[in-house]
Amino acid sequence: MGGRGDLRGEMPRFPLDDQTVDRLLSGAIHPDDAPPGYDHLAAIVKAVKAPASPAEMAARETTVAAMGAAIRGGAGIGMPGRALPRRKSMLGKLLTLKAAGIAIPAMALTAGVAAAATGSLPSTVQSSVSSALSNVGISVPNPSHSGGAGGSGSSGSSGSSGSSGSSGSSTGGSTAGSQKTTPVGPSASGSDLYGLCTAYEAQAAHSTTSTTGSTSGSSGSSTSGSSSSVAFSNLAAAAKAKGESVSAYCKGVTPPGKTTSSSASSKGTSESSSHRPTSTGSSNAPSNPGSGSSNASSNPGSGHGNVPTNPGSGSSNVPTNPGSGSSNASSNPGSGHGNVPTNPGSGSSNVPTNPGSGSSNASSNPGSGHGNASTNPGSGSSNVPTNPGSGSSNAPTNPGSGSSNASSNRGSSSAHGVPAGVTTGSGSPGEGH
Amino acid sequence: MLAAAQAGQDWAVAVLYHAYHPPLLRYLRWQEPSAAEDLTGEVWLAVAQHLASFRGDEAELRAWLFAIARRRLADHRRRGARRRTVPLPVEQFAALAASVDPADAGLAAMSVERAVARLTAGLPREQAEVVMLRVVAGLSVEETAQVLGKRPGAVRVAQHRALKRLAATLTPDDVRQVFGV
Repeated sequence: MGGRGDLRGEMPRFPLDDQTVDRLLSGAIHPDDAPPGYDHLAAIVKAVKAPASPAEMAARETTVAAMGAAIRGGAGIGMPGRALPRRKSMLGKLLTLKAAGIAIPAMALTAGVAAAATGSLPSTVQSSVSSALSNVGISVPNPSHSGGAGGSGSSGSSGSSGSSGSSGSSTGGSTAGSQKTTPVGPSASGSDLYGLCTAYEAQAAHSTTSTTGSTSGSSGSSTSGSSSSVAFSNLAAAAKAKGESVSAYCKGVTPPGKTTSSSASSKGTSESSSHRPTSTGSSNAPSNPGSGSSNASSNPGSGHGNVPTNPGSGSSNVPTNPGSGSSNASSNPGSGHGNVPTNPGSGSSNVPTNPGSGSSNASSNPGSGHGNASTNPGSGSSNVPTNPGSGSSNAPTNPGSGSSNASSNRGSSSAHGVPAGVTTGSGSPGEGH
Repeated sequence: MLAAAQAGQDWAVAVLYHAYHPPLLRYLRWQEPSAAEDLTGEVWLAVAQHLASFRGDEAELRAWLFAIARRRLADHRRRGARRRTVPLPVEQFAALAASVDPADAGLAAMSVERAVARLTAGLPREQAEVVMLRVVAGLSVEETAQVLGKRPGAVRVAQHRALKRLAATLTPDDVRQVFGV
C-alpha cells in the first residue's frame, strides 16, 4: 500500500476529534481539505454519497404512487366503489411479490417501469404489469385488452405470470413468436367447462383478495383471470362469443354430476410450516399463503380446476396435481426457493410457475401433458423448467433476470411453441426462448 | 414534509423516497446483492404501512428506516435465502472493478458500487457495518448505535479503528478506480 509521501504506510499521526470524524463521514470535507492521511478516504466517501443514478430511481414513480395510495388507505384507488381494506395493501402486492399470489417481475419496480409506461415491455409482461399497476391507479398500456388474453408478443416472455399466479403460460398460449401451432387445451364446454370456470375464479379471487382463497365474485379483477394460458384463452373466447364476461359466462355453468363444492382449504398463517392441505375432487383451492415452508398442497386423483398455490416467501413448497387432472395451476409466487410445482400424469393445460425471485426452482410437467407451460419469471437463478415426456405445445421459459437458467423440452414432444434449447446468462425479459 | 407524507401526499412521499431510497438500496446491495431490490421494496412497504403512526423527526425517521431494513434483511436470511457473500480481498478489487462494463452498469452506479466495495474492503464486519451506516445511511453515532443495538461508545471505537485502517490502506489507485479514471 505504498503510495505517496511519508504519510503512507504508517498510521496517520493526527488523531481525529469526533467533530472531524462526523464531518469526514458525512462527506462534508473535501479531499483537499482533509486531515493528513485522510484525503483518499474523503474522496471515497464523496463517491459513496454521490447523487442517485437514474437506474437507482427507475422505480420512483411507481413506488411513490403505490406508497401514497397505501398510506391513504387505498380507498377508491383503481377500483371505483370498492374500498380496499388497509391490510390488503395493493402496495404489498406490487412491491413484495408475496401477497395474494400476484407475481410482479422485479423489473417492474426498477428499470422496467419506464418501459411499462410506454408499452415497450414484452406483451405478456406488459399485460401483467399493467394489471398490477392498475390496482394502484396507475395506467400503462395493456396489450391484452384486446379481448383475449392473448398476451403474446415476445416469445417466451411470459414474464410475470402476473396477475393470476398461474398464468405464466402466456407463452403456451400465444407466443407471437411461435406462430406455429396453437396449443389446444381443454375446450370451454362440456365437462371441462366447470373445471375451467372454477380454476379461473379461484385464481381471480386469489389475486384480488390477497391470500385467503376466498371467493371472488371476480368481476373486478378480471384481468387477473385473463391470464393467457391455453385453457383460459379458450374460456375467454367462449365467453366473448356469447357477449359475456368470463364471470358472467361461468355463473351459468353447472357442475358435472356430483362435485365437491369449491372448498378453499387453505390458509396457512403467515408463519405456518409443514402445512398439508389436500383436497380430492374438483374445484379445490388449497393454498398456503404467507411465509410458510415445507408446505405441500396436493390435489391427487382426477380433480379439475384445482389451484394449489404457495404464495408468499415459502421455501421447499411442493404443490402438485398428480393424476389426470386438467386445468390445474400450481404456482409458487413470491420469493420462494427450492419450490417444485409439478403436474405429473396426463394432465393438460397445466401451468406450474415460480414467479418472483426464487432460486433453484424446478417446474416440471412430466408425463404426457400438453399445453403445458412452465415458467420461472422474475429474477430467479438456477431455475429449471422442464417438460419431459411426450407433451406438446410446451413452453418453458425463464423470463426476467435469471441466471444459469435452462429450459428444455425433452422427450418426443411435438409442436413446441418454443424451441428447445438452453437459455443461459442473465437474461432480460423476453429472452426466455 | 413528514406530516404531509404521513397524510399520504404524493409529493411528500416522493421527497422521502428521493432522499432515502439511494442510501437504502446501496446499503442493502452491499448486504445482499441478489436480493437488494426486493428487500428495498419490502422496506418501503413497511414504511407505507406504518408511516402514519411513526412519531419522531426526520433524523429519527432515517434511523427507523434503516432499522426496518436490517430487520427485513434478518428475515430474508432466516428464510434461508441468504446468498453467501465473501469479503472481497483488496487484491481482487481491482480485477473485479475492471471487469465491469460501463455500458451495462452505468458509470455513476458503478462508481458508487466500487466506492462502497472499497470503503468496506478489508474491514472486519462490525467496523464495515458501522462505516456503512455512518456513511451510506448517514446516521449519527447515536442512531447507528440504536440500529445496531450497541452503545454509542462502541460505535465510536469501531469507526475510529475503521477510519485508521482505511486511511492506512487506501491509495491513489483506489480512488482512480472508483472514479473510473
